[in-house]
Amino acid sequence: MKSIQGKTGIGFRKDFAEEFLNENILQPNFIEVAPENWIDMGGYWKKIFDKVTEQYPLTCHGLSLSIGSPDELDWDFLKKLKLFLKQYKVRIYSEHLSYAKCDNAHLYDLLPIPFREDAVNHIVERIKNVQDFLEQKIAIENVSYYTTVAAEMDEPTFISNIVNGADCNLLLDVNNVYVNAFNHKYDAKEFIKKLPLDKVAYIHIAGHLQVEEDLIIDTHGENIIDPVFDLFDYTTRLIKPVPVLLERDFNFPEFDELQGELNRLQKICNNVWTPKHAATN
Amino acid sequence: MLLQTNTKKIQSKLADYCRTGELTLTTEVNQKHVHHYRRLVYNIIDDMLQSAFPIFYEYADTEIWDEIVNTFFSTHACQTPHVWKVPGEFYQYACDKNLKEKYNIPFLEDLLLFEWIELDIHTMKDEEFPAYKTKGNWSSDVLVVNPEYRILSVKYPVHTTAPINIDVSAPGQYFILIYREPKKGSVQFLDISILYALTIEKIEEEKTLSEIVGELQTIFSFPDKAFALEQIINFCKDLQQKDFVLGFKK
Repeated sequence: MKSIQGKTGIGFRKDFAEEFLNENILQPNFIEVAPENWIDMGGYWKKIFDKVTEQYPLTCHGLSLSIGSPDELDWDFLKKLKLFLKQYKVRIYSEHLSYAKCDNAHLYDLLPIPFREDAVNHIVERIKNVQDFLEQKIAIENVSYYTTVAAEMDEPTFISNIVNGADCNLLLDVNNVYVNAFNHKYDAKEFIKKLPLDKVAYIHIAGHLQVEEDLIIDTHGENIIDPVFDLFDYTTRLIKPVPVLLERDFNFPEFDELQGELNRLQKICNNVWTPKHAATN
Repeated sequence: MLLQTNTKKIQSKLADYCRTGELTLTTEVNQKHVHHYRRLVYNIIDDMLQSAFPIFYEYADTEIWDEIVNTFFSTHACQTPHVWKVPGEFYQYACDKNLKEKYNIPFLEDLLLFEWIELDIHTMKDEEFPAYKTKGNWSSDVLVVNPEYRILSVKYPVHTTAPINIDVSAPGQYFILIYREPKKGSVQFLDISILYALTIEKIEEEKTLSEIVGELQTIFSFPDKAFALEQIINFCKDLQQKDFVLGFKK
């Protein structure tokens, strides 16, 4: 099986599925999907999905597990997820450190969790249960947020305590760090240094949109800006080679422009990771 | 449960705000920016429903659309982890709350059902196709049909007539065959008569067309049974061309 460590991939979207399969312009090393968008799917889209997953290694980034929810875990969903991960030989399964379901109602978006000790303990237990059930480690992503919610600790402590407590992996979203550093006025590099970097198993990177003088929204609808590329470069120097995923969910540019972003990311990966690891291997 | 009541309550209030737009959190959140969560969450639901029900969205006044979507999302607890299945819950909600009477749109349930089933058939899990042979006797062999279909029975012609032109004073009985074309996965729909709707139902019971005509004789009192059989065979042959009738049972 071809390794995706130190390689760049792209979020596979229905919006560009046909073009992606019919043209050879966009050439990621792997693709990522939200399993919720493909589990139980048949017909035309299943044919497309089967075709693309025959050609590319697959990672999954979940939306509905709602790991930070006060509600019970959805075991029926987890059973389907486990089958899906196995069927498509998914390399990494990650989820957001947020909640998307509460009071038995799905919200289909990522709400910020209070940075509190009891929330840490609650989430650690849930991640452990999920990992035990799936029989694999999962990666948890630092999310962007536009307000803290009754926080009693800082964010790096919250994330670190969860990742270390649950012994799970960390999906480090570099753009989210940039967005949060801007929105909550902290230093992005200092923040990254405080994370459990030995647990980073996956990186996400994307574009964003500044909607107010003091607020950036993590839209995944714009190109990556230079400071985020710089932060990515900085991050790669602190960690071992991992897969790097470009997230683009709408407002799609031409494929050669997306490929240009992938190339720039790959160049950074190659510059930082290849010589060092080639020398040690 | 390791989560303390207070934390749980705060999480519940934030989720409730996203669903209803009524904020009961004060110092716990940034009052200037928290509204983005309500906006983002609501837009996901609104966009999903707009794309699932394009005909109804186009027909409805903006004010009514917004009221329906807002009330749906704030009062209905969405159960599916798959956002693309929410339109099915929306249809059921519209029936349960009798929105057709509330908004005086008699064909509302029919229209939402038609739009939802089109989407549902397009995305439904693949069914196992039964074995069949391509050659056989049209009147004495059992036919095999594409299993990925639904027959809808509606009171208004929502599948053939734009909502604005539907005569709400004259409800009738219409049957729509909706199925997924097996090779490409595209959805086809056909307006069919009650005779043909019952024929398909009886084909599923593994009856031959000859037997079916015999059974339907009691309902339709065909003046000429042989002619009726010929008509039904022609209908089935046409459906074979359209990739609904697959062939003959082995």
